[in-house]
This record gives sequence, structure tokens and C-alpha cells, in this order.
Amino acid sequence: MEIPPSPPPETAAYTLTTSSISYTIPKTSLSLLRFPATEPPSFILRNITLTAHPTEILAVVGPSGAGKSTLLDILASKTSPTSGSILLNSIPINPSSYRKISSYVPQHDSFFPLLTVSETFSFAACLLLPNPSIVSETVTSLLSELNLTHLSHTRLAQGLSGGERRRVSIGLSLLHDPCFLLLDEPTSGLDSKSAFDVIHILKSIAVSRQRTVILSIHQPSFKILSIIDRLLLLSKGTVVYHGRLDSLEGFLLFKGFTVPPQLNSLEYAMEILQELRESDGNTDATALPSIENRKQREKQSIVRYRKSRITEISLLARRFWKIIYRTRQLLLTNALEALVVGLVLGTIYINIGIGKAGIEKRFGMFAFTLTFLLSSTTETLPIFINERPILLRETSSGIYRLSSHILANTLVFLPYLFVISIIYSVSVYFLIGLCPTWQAFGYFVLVIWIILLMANSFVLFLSSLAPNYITGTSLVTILLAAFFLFSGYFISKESLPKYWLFMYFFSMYKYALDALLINEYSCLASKCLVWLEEAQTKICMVTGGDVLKKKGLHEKQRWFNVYVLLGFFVLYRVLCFLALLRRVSGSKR
Amino acid sequence: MEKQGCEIEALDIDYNIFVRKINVNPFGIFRRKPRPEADQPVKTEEESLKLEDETGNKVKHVLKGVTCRAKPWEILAIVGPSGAGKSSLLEILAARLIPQTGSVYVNKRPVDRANFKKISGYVTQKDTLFPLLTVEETLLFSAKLRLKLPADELRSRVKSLVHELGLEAVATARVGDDSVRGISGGERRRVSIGVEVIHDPKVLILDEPTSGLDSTSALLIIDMLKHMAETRGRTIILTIHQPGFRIVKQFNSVLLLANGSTLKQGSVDQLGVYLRSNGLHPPLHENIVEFAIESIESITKQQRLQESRRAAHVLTPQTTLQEKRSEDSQGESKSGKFTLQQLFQQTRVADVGTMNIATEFTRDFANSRLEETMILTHRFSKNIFRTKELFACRTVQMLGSGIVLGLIFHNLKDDLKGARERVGLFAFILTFLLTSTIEALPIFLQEREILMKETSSGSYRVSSYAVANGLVYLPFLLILAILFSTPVYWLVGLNPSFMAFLHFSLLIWLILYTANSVVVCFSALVPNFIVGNSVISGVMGSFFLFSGYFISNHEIPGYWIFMHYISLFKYPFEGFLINEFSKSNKCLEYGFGKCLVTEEDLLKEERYGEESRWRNVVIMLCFVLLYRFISYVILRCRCSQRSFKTTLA
Repeated sequence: MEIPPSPPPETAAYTLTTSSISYTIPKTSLSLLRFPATEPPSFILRNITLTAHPTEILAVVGPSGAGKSTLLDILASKTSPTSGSILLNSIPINPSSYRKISSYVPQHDSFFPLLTVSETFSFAACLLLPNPSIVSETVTSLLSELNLTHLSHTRLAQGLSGGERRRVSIGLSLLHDPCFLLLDEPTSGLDSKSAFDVIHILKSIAVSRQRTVILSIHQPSFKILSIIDRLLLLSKGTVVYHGRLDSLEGFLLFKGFTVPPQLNSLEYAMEILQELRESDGNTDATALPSIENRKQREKQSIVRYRKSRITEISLLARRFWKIIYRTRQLLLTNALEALVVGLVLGTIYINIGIGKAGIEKRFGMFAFTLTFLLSSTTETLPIFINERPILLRETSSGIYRLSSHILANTLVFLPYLFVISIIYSVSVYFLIGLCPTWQAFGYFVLVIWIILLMANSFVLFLSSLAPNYITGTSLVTILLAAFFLFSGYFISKESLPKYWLFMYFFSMYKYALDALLINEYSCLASKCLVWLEEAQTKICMVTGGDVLKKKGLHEKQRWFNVYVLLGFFVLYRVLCFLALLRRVSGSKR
Repeated sequence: MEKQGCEIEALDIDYNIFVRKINVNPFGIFRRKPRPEADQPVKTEEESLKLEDETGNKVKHVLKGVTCRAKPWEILAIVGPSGAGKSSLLEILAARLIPQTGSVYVNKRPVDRANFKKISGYVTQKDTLFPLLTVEETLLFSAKLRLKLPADELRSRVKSLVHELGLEAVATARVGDDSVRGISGGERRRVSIGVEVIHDPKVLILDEPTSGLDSTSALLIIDMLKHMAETRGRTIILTIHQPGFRIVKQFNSVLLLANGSTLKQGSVDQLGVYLRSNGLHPPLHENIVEFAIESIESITKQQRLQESRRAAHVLTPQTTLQEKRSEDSQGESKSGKFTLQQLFQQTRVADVGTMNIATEFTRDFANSRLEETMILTHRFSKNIFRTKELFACRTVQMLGSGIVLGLIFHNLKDDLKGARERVGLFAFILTFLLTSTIEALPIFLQEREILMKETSSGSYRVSSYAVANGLVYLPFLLILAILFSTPVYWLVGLNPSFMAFLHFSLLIWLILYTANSVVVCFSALVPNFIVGNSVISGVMGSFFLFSGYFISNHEIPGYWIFMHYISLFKYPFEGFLINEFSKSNKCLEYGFGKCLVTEEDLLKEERYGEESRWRNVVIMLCFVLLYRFISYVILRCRCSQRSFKTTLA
């Protein structure tokens, strides 16, 4: 028998009660719920009163459509009830601070699939625990408590059963050290042994840590019922029974029903729900004490993050780098693409030379480089979109700041994209025979790097907006096409109608293309590109400087273009932050 | 004369898979960066069936000597914990997997796996349905594909099935899925069952049909299955892992499976007797099957004890052994008599079954190729029109982008600069049209999964699917082409000949269709969206590079010139130029009082000529056919590999 770790002495135990909770559907969304015609037209929940005690499990049971998930959302402060209130040791809750001391485990697990179980717990613990030195010890004891020690080095994408994944979800929520655990159907999809294991662990957590556990469950087996302390039986949004399990059989007898053999009392109660709804079955309504506790109220009102910003950023950067590193598709694809495309371009435009043809070729090469660099970063779009629900869940739970996530993301991509730009530049620059000085090459690498960063920010921003990756891909394609169109490559600035001129200045292609052209032709400024031979005399027709002048460029604009590109990079990251911020505040699950 | 059913019998089934042990790094400390794993574990569909006590073995015995029998007019439930091998046994019974040893018999004859799929239905745990079709449409399309009946008879059959499934209230509702709102989980499960019983199979096999449902929905489904078994003589086999008592009552036979071995098969009452004989007594309010699953460890221990006790040869056990021997002999004599009677009866049943089977197998598929293609085209068109991302958004996108392009390149001048900008317009149109079709990739990937499921059931031929897929997009893309061409062409002020406009529209249509064919081809090939997106972008990017726009074809090095000729961009690009500049004596540049460059001269400079106009169109058509054929071959390989078939219709 394992000795559970001693509970932290400073954590208080709370009793949660609700008083006449009701919830109705907002009128604007009535048309969306035509199919559940059997439900009352507007009430999801009606007059729910319940009590959940520390060290106990309260199970919310009922058929589909009974309102279990809505009730859990209200208890988790994800939704506000239409009427009624939630009390914590007889004091109304502050939703924001209440979310800090409660933890909601959704029905569907979502983790980073490439991290191991141990790493998943460690990263969360580093972010949540005040004392870094106890992280290792805490994670070890948590793995032991959840019977996951033998899987600590297993990646979450493979090798874990449904029950084991569910226990990882519970473990993550425990690292909050919450007073309340709320779980939506924690046994759904599991077999009877796994389901029993999960409920058994929840019971030991409730007892050893003085926690209050509330869960919804479809059809608990006999053994699971013996672990659950109290029931709340819902039918069509109303309470049919609220009390202990051993009282349920007496309650049924009182109503004139006898439980047949081989049926447990709850199974039977579910069958005769219609008859039971005739009268109120709440036998556990206790008088609510009216003593106020100011200390607890003050404690509730404090909202603070547990880690400094620098710690948050470094931890998130480390986690993000592991994910990028292990996503072989992304890593290899980007590196190989940069190398292969660079070599292919190099061998096509090999020794591009000077002359009229050379000018056209350089222009084409630069344009294609931009097309490739900007479009290849769209491959990260599905990754960003898939990770978004995890990000939203973690930031809305107050684990870390949203801004820390953006900064950590940036810190990881800065060196990553720098390496990509080096690979591309080295493979393409000297093969083609561009300006053979280290200064020009260095500037070229810098421009490539900034282009990649800007594109990355752009895709990140769109991934925060798009509902799914089909729409996200469409958005990226259309916007990149528009920017490409207005780059000056297909139609010159002078030929552009006046009312479209503003798009020319919004196009990220324009500044990048200008930067590359200036870099190349500044080197050739005093070199003659096109000769006119007449009699015995050679007359220079076009120099590098003339090419720049013809395109309306000047060498002094060299750094201006770089600054504009950096501005775009920062702008899109800020826009991404704002979009995610709006999603977090609107997020409910 | 009542219709005879099918009896399914499996004898001594052994099924093994080879699992590479996951590499656990013994030196890994969580703070230290882990060493990248040299070899990834082999992912198999039985990965989740791995037993926890399996340590270091390369061979995993999923099933060991399993024997079971399922009779017509009855439900057989296979129960056991996770990792017991329930799903593997079910797939073997459904002729989806081949065991290493043992055989499956249908009415005492070895199962013909290809033909068995015609008389059986297999409902997977995951519902694989088109979310945008209604319940009625889903069943009707399934009926059309699997049955050769007149239209009104098909409709009445679907109607009665909807009634039998209890889905009248939602018959016209869309099926839906996670992202599309639709019917409830229990109702969707019933639709999945309906799809598999529409062709009136004699055997119905279901993998955990109640998983994820609440008790009321679960009971509804089991009641429905019971009704099917009792009224239609079907043999029903299902797996289930946490049945309530009301559900257990509906089972005629229960097979208790643990660690790949059979612990007991018999009725629920026999299972209760078996438990009590092992000294296990279920509590009053717990049902027998639930208790049996929980007691598997005890049962296994007792079996080992009994075996070791027999080996000990102690006096008291000898007496017990003698008693058991007498009991065994009695049992043997009883089973002998029973077997003789059963043999006689089963001989009759086998004869009738053989005749029925011979009659039914005269046709491989319910419909001819043409009929299959028409049905699938009809289903495709419904899905396309209802997928907002695919239809409505693309329509708006094409019209909007056409107008915007027209306004940007509005009234280009007739000079050298204007000519270059026309060329830029053509290049941009190509880029935009060819890359925007990638959006459809996830939809094709989703359809592929349904295709593999349906062809493995023998619903239709892969070739019919490929043809229907090709046909359905022709009118759709034609509409898009017209919506795009009309504003671009006249706003920009291209060649003001109506014939030139028609040719331009034709080129746009072919471009869209070529892009669609490329995406279809790669969606058949790639495993998921990320890889598909990368591959298609890479292919399109390289075609773009070699199109002749960034670098002239006569300046491309010799070792790369072949890429120019296989580039999808080259031929439409050339077509646009010829369409615009051919037969034109417009002067683009004047010097010294006379014309220096005409539009015709631009074409000659690039070595294009009027004679290439229709050749380009023909080459584009050849590319379309090539990519369609490649996607057909790939899909066919995938489907045959999936169903272990060596020959396909």
C-alpha cells in the first residue's frame, strides 16, 4: 500500500454549495437547438441546489440532454447562471479567483503529443510551483500516485491507453494544487477496469489531499458506485435525487419501487426517471450558515501569476523548442527545402553574368526567392492551429501570461529561421555569382532571415484568426497572392491605378525585393552592364546605378527597407497577441 | 419457408503481431535533453492492445487458441478488458484480418473472405459517414450502391429501414460530425448500422456499438439489434466492455476473453454457474457479466492453482480428480449425443446455405460501372454544394479576385511596357489559380478514408470512384472559370475578339481542372495534410520556376531543360501569350519614324507560334489524364492492400 504524500498544510478545504441555479438558452441561439425537441423550450437547468464536501466525490448522473455538462460549466465558472449563486464556504465566489483554486478536466484530452509524460508534468510544475527545488520530487510522487511511473518516458502520442491518458489529464490539473476538481465524464470511452482505476485515484486524491471532487458520469458500474460518496441525479435540467448512494435504495422504496436483482440502484433509477421526476428528491438540503469570513474573501480576490515573466518565457521556449525539434516533418522539410531549392536555383541561374539578360535574370531570381520563402512558411499553419486549444486552455487557467507565450515562440524561431536562411543563402548565393563580397553576402543573409521571420509572424497571426486550417490555408494563399501582385514585379507602380496605390506600400514583397535589388546593384553601381559599340568607340549605356535609378531606388534606402520588414515582423506578432487575447477572454472550454 | 441464417464458427484462432519495444532511455533525466530516438516504434493498429505485463517480447500473442460460435437468430457478445483481443477477434471474424493458425467457417464450410463481405456487415467503432448528407440520403446512396433494385423499391426499403432504426424524426437532418452540427451520437451510430444492414446481410459484426453513448442510447441500440436478430434471422456478433444488466439480458451468448484466451463461452446463466463453481459469488446488485470481467484475475489464478494441484498428485486431490473424471465422462457422452444431432442438423443447414451462397454470388457488384459512376457523381455533387469552404467560398473568391485583377490591370496601354505587364498578368493568374486549389486537399483526404471503407465492403469499384470524381468537378470548375474570366478579360482590355475570350476561358478552365487533378493525385498519395501541403507546394513551386517566366527557356541550362517541358505552367502560359499577341501587327515601340517591335515579334522572340495554340490545349488534357490515372492506380493499391485482395474488379 502506497503512502500518499502528506497534504500541504496551508491549503484550506472548501465546501461548495449552489443555491437555486437556473440556466436558460440565450434567445439568439434558440434557432440552433431545434433538434432536441423533447427538451423544455428554454430551460437547460432549473433550480439546482447541491452541496459538495471536501474529501468526497460528488457524481452528477443523468441521460444525454439532462444538463450535466452545462452544470459543470457553471460550477467551473466557465458560464454564468441565469439565476442563483455559487457559494464557497457560504461566501459567493469571485469567478476569476475561483478559477485559480479550481481545476476543470475536459472530456477530451489535449496534450503536446511529442512530449513524454514526465516532461509534460515537469513543464507544468515549473510554471506552477513556487519553489523550483521541489519540482523533481513533486513530479515523482505525482507519477507514483497516478500509477504512471512506468510510463514516465513514454511520449503521449504513442503507447498510452485511454485510461492512462486520462490520468495524465488529472495529473496536470493536480499541479495547480486546486481545492476543487471538476471532471466532465472522466470514464467515457474507457473499459471497466480503466474506469475503476480512474475513479479510485480520484477518491484517494480527495481523501489524502482534502479535495472536493465533482464529476459527471454516464453509467457507473457497481464497483465505481461503491467509491462515489454522493449522487446528483439530473433529468431534463431538474434534480431527481441528491444524496448518498446507500440512501438511494431507500428513496426508491419510499417512492414505491423495488430494485430488481443484478441491477444496481442507480441503473434502476435511470430507467424510471420519468416517474421519479414527479417529486423533489433532494434529501441533502442543509441549512446554509451565514457567517462571513473576511480572510477567505480577501484570499479569493487576489489574482497573481506564480512565476516571473522571465521564468515563464524560458520554460515555454524550452517546451516549444522540444516540440519543434521532434516534429521531424517540420524540421526536415524546412531544412531540405531551403537546401534543395537553393541548389536548384543556383544551378539554373548559374554564373548569371551581366548584360541585359543578366539584369532580367537577377530580377526573376529575387522574385522567385521571395515566393518560395513566403509560401514555405505556411507549412507551420496546421501546427499552430492544432496547438491553439492547448494554449487557450493554459492561459485562461492562469498558468502563464499570453504575452510570455508569444515571446517564447519568438525566441525559438529566431535561431531556427536563422539556420534556415544560412542554408538557403549559402546554397544559392555563390553558385549564381551574386556580388562576391562578404558584406553583401551578410546583408543578403540578413534580409532572407528577416523575410522568414516576417512570414512566420504573418502565418502565426492568421493561425490565431482562422477557425480551421482549410480556412487558414485559404486566407494565407489569398493574402500572399495579393502581396505578390502588388510587389511591383507583375505591374509597375506607375501603371497601377491610383486607388490601388496604397496596397503597393502594404506589400511585404516590395520592401524585400527592393532590399535585394539595392544590395546587388549597389555592388555593381560603377560597373558597366550594357555596351553600345559604335565605330571604334565603346559607349556605356547602362550601369548598376542606372538600373537602380530606373526602378526608383537609391542605395540610401538599403536600411530603410530592412526597418520596414522588421516593422512588419513586430506588427504581425502584436496582431497575433491581440487576436489570441480576444479568444482567451471569449474562451469557455 | 423461413430463410436460413448463417452460423459462424472460429476454431483455434492464433493471431500474432510483431511489436518493436519502445526505446526507453535509462539515462534520461527529465531536465537533461533526451537523446533523439534512433528508431521509432512500429505503429500498428494493435498498438493499443499491448498488454501491460508484456516485457521485452518481440512477438505479441494477441489471440491464443480462441474458439467461438455464433448462431443465426442470436446475439453473441464478446466481452473483456482492454488488451484482451476483442477487436482483433472481431476483425478476423469479419474477414478483415488473417490469423496465423485456425480457421473461420460459415455453415461448416471454410469462409470465402471476398464473398463473405457481401453477406456480412461490419460496423466499426468510429462512425465513417459524410457529415453533410442527410440520414435518408446516406442510406439511399448506400442502398443504390449495394443493391440492384428499381428506384421506388429502393426508396421503400430505405423508408422501412429508417423506421426500423427509429430515425423518422431526423430523417431529413444532416448527419454532422465534430465540426458540423447534426444528429446525436446515438442516432449517428444507428445510421452507421443502417448503412451496413441496407443490403440485408446475414451476419452483422459490430465493434463496441455502445461506446461513448449514455445508457439510454446504448439500450436502444442493443434492443434494435435484438429485434434484427429475432425477426430477420441475422447472426449478430459484437464487442462490448461495460454492459449494464438490461443490455446483458439481450445477449444469447457471451464470450469472455482475457489476455487473448477464451475463459468461457455460453449463455449468461451458464456464465453465472461457471463463476460460482470457481468460488466467486456476484453481489446482489451487480450483473454477472460485469462481475465476470472484474474477476478475470481471480479466475486466472484459480486455473493456475488447479493445474499445479493436479501436478502435485496428493491423495485428497486424487479423489477430486476421480470425481472430475466421472463428470467429464458424463459430459463427454452428453456432448457426443448432442454433437451427433448437431451434425445431422448442420448438414441440412450447410446444404441449403451452399445453395443460397451459390445463387447469390453470380454477380460481384450490384451495379454496372456506368450506374456506379452515376450514383457516386450524384453523391459527390451534393457534398460539393454543401461544403461551404469548397463551393460558396470558392465562387466568391473567383469572382472577387477576377474583379480585383481587372481593376488593377485596368486598360493597359498598347506599348512595350503594357505588353510586359500583360505577361505579368498571365503569370500571376497561373500562380493564383494553381496554388489556390490546395484548399481542397483536406476534403479529398477525408473522402479517401470513406472510399477505403466502402470498397473493402465491396460496395463499388475503385475505377467508378475515380471516374465519378473526375466528372463531378467539370461543370463546377467551368462555372468558376467563367466567373473569373469575364471580369478579368474585359476590364483589362485584352484581345477584343470574342473567339479569343472563349479561348481564354477554356484555358482558365483547363488550368483549374489540371490543378484539381494534381491535388487529387497527391491526396491519394500523402499520409496527412501537412505532408500533402508541403509536397504540392513544392511541386507547384518548381513548375512555377521552370515556366519560362522567371528565366527564358533558351537560357535554362541543358541539364534542367526537361523540367521546362513537364512544367504545368509552360503550356497555359504559352497559350495565353499566343491568344493575346498572335496575328497582331500592333506596334509596341516606335523609333526613327518607323515601327521597331510588334506583338508578333514578341512571340517570335520566344519562338512561339500560332501552330502551338491547340497543341498546348492537347498537352494540358494529357496532363489531366495522366494525373487522374496515377491517382486511380494509387487508390487501387491502397484499397487492395487494405483488404488483402490480390485481384480487383
